Amino acid sequence: MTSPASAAAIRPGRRRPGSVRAFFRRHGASYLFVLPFVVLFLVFYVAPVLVSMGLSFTYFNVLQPPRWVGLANYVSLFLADDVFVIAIANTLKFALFTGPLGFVLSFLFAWLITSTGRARIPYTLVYYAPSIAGGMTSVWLLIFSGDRYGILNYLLMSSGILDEPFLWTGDPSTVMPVIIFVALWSSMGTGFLAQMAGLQSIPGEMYEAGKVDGIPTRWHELWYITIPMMKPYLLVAAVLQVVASFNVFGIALDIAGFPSTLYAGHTIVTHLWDYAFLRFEMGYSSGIAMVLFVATFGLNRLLRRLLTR
Amino acid sequence: MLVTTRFRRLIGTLSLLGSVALCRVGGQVLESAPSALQLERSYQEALRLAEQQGISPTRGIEIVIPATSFAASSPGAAVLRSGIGGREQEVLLWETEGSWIEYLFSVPEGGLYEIRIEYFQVPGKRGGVQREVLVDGEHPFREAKSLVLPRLWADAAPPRRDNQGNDVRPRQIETPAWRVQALEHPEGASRSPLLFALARGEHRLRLGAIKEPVAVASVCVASPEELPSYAALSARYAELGYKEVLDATILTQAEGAVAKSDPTVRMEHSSDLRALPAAGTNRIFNVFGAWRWRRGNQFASWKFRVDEPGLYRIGLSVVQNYNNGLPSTRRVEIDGRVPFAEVEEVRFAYDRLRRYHILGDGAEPYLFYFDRGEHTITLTARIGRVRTVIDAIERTVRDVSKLQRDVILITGVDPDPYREWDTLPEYLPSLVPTFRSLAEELSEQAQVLRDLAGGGRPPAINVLTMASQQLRSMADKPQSIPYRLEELSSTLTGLLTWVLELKEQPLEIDYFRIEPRQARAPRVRPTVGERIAAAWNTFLLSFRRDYTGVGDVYDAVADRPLDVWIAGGREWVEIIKELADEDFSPATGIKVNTSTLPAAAAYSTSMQAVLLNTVAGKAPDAILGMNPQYPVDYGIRGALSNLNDFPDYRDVAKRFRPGALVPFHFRGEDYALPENQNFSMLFYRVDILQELGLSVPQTWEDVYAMIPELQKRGMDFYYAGVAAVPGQVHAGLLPFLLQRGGSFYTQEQLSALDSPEALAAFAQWTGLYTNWKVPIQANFYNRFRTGEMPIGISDYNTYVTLSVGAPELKGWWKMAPLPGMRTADGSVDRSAGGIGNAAAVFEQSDQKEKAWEFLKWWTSTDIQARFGEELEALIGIEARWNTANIEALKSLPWPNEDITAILAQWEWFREQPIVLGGYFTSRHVQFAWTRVVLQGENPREALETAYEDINRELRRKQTEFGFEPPAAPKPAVSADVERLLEERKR
Repeated sequence: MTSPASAAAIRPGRRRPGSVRAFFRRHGASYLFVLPFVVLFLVFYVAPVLVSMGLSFTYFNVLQPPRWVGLANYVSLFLADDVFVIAIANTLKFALFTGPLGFVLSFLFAWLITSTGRARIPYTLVYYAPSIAGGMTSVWLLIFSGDRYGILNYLLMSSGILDEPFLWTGDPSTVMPVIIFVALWSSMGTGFLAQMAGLQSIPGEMYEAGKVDGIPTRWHELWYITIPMMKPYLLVAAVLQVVASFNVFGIALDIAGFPSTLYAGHTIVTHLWDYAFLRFEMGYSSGIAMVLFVATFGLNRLLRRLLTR
Repeated sequence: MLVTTRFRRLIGTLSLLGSVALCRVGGQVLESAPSALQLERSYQEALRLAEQQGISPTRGIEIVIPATSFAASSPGAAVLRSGIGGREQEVLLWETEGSWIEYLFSVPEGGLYEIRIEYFQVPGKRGGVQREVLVDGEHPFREAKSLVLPRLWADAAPPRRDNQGNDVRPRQIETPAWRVQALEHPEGASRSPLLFALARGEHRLRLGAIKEPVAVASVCVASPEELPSYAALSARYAELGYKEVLDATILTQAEGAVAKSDPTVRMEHSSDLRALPAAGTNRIFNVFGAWRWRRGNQFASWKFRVDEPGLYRIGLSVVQNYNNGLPSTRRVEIDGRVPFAEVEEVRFAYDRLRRYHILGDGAEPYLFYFDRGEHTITLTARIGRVRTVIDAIERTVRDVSKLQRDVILITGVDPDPYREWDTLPEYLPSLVPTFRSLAEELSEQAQVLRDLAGGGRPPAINVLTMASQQLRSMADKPQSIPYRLEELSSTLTGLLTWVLELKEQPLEIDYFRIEPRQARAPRVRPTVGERIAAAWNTFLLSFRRDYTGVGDVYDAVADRPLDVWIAGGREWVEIIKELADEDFSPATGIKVNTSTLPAAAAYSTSMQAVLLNTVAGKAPDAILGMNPQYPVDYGIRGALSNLNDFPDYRDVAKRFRPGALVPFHFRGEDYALPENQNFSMLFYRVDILQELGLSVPQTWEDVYAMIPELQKRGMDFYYAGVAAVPGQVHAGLLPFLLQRGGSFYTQEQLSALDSPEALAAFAQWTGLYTNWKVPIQANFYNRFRTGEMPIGISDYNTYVTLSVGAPELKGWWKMAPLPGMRTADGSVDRSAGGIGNAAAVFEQSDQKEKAWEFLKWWTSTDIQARFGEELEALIGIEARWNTANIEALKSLPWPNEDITAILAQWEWFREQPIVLGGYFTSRHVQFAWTRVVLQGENPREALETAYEDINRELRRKQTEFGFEPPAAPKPAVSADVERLLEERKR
């Protein structure tokens, strides 16, 4: 998915009057410097989005050439696909929890870890590790196993809370909560690192000055110095968090399997994948991708506006 | 709540694990009677028993019975035939599996005898000739149930060198000859041939045919051969005036073996710089044996010519760095006889590097006399000295498990932590002494291993020592035993896992030298520099070698090779490629390039890779190991060829169960051939069922009768619920549906889940969980081992896992065909599915004919059998190949009992077609299941919802492909269904 943060970075400077040649003489070197990035960005970010946009207006079963169908995909997506509605609802539910909560948590942990001083690095590693080790979700499968000897079931049964094993990842009522829980656990990702970096970039003098000016507690310190200083980093982290929670897929798939019971863990990306690789309807799934793209893009703008205010 | 479950479990185990009648508490001795469940005695035990009874080997007796003069036989067992293998006189041609032949003979004195059979291998299914032996109507020991007369094999020719300078493995051919073979321990775990205790007088010897045909000339009951000691022999040599040879050295390359017991024991490649000839950077077969030559009784022979008669020593250039610090053992025979006792078991010590081994007693080499002319040397893999270790472990496990059962009988599985068990030794007087003596025995055997390892410290030693310490500490503190049973179980499993490893005896031989006593040993040990150089070579090679391709990679333009993608492990692909180079290419002139794809789980990235390559126009010519969900999906979109277009498709299709082809058939077209086939089987614990007095259920009614019996004792029946394979959830419903004659789809390929049969099947399936409380999710393998789930229905994976991962259960579990529905005529319909992987040809290919040839070759009986054999030889039982080719399955080296059970189930093999949008069946059957089992909905409503949803997708997909789906369906609920539902409630 397009990362809007990087999109901002290459926004070209305002064009000045004058011949093209003069322009290049003046700015050529600068453009040369951004060229590698621009090329990569165009090829690997912009082009796929455009192709996908194009495909969303076609019927494309992958193995045979696409056929133009106009808006048909979107029409059935919005008007006839009730599973899509479930997927949107699930994704929103998921994003609503993991987005803000994950954001706050990662800030909180970053803040706490930074104040541990020397122990910072091991702590960072411990908290960051789950997000790089994708396959680690299998640990949670053991914990949430529906077997009588699944760890959680065993604990609950031997302490008398449950009478018979509960199918944590099979019962529609608990699938989403379990996914959200595991997602929170692994949410200390790049956003968390950005926040760590931000916290460390705040000069110590600021706090000294704060002390001199009579800041009473660390909470005041946090509120009046740390957070204002952290604004750009927080923005990046928030954006990453939101994009990540809208693209939830791997965790949902690992935890709930595919298809999850009664679509309880069905997210937009799962839905997309379902159409693309199971039903071989690439056109339709491109349509879903476009909707997702527009949604995340819009949300980004919104967040940006909210947070930079 | 908690207390009740606990209590239930305790009661359950109490009555389970021991005969209840003996469980009288109150100071009485509490030991279970020597149980009828005891395994039949092993050869070692029988031998010990004979020893205790003072039965000793006889001497100098030889009773030869011509095979043709048998006393009795089962009807049509064998025919008399002359002219076999150049024999003028009549011999017995014995081809019927399951038949038997009996001989009468009498021995002049009581004692131990061996039995020798003179036989000739006749064309069969490539496997060793398996026969059982009964003396006076019973198996003298359990090994006698399956004894093997090996077939002789050889390379058809020296290896051919290909355009890349690499060797192509020659074809393996049978080289039949008349042989006399004394019956050997099937695992090579006795020093000499098997000994049978016979009392003086008349005896009845019955031979039963288990597998493979054979021609037999004679059966001989004889005293065991007495081997002279080396000292005695060399004294004789001195008497005869044999002289040491001074300067004649004969070098024999081991890769040129002239005969061997298995086609899988063969020439191999070594990149070692000191190997002769050195391979350099090419793949040249320059050594013999190695890892594949590790099972007891596997032998190979070599021929050499001696010009100068006299006494020679024998040296071998060997590598033995496999055996975890322990030696590998070989028996040495010269011209078919073991010359003296010392070389009956020669140990090749563990060494990281190549080494020159001179046969000798450690200080002095043994001298062998050779006269002028041709001689043979034969090396046979033996279990060797570690057999006593294996024996001790097996005994420990048996005795400890029995005591464990007795302890549980008294204390229960979950012993009360507040109770002291000081009185345990009073209840079980044999407990402490047995533990002590076993601890002693194990530490003795650890010492045996330590001596064998010669300074090294193989991990097996630690395992034995730890087990010994554990037993000792338990014997010291018997009151702690009830709490340490689990610990004990895991130790036993650990011990048994080592048994498997201890039995492996691999050895790689580069060459032999028959040389004078004083000859200077050649330097075969690579120096540090050479090793670095070899490693560097390998590193350089890694830049040139194409690792996705396997074996020789043919030039795409010049050779026009067939491009075959194989989804499977590298070993799988390597074996297929080698078979193709050796067998397929020479026969057809079609060269084959293979590429490896990761094994194909459903919806996996490797299948997506195939998809994307097809889009890009880079599809291969053929694919093997394709996930069975895909052929129809690909085919309907024009990516796979319709195999039905090939004129001989129908003949090829006959190789498989008709049901196995159904998933690849779509509207008159067939897109793939099945490679392997899964099976649903009923797995059960023989011991537990017997102890509970339960018999193997034949129908679901029997299962229902059994479940309460199990649950009373805290045990469960297993039937996979939703935790089954993703995309295959409906497989759980399949047997119930098929056994009622139902189906997932109608003729028009719309859902048939509105039929009364489907509803009844669905109600029965969900009823297992709602009414009968079968656990929804469980690790069957684990609970089967612990005995909590002594019976359940599972598939191929469970079979393999149990075969490999539960050594302690060997002989205690069996498979049976599925329980079924009683049909009108009283028989039982046991129908079940089991879809395997597929092989297909791509439509993009411009060599479809050739690709089809390849597919035909690959699925042929011979190749499937060979592949299964090779795979199991290389990797082991965990890679047991469940081929879809019926004939090939019969000849694979699986235990006969297992194959029989599987084939019985395959009689009932049915599968369902894969239709457009068929993935919705799995999905919505799962949803319906959830609605009923987890949310308590009515089965009929849940299934109706599913039916609607499935049909909507099926119709949508059919329209997408321009098929006209038939008009809307009729409402389906009838009085019939109401009745069935009523029945379910009762």
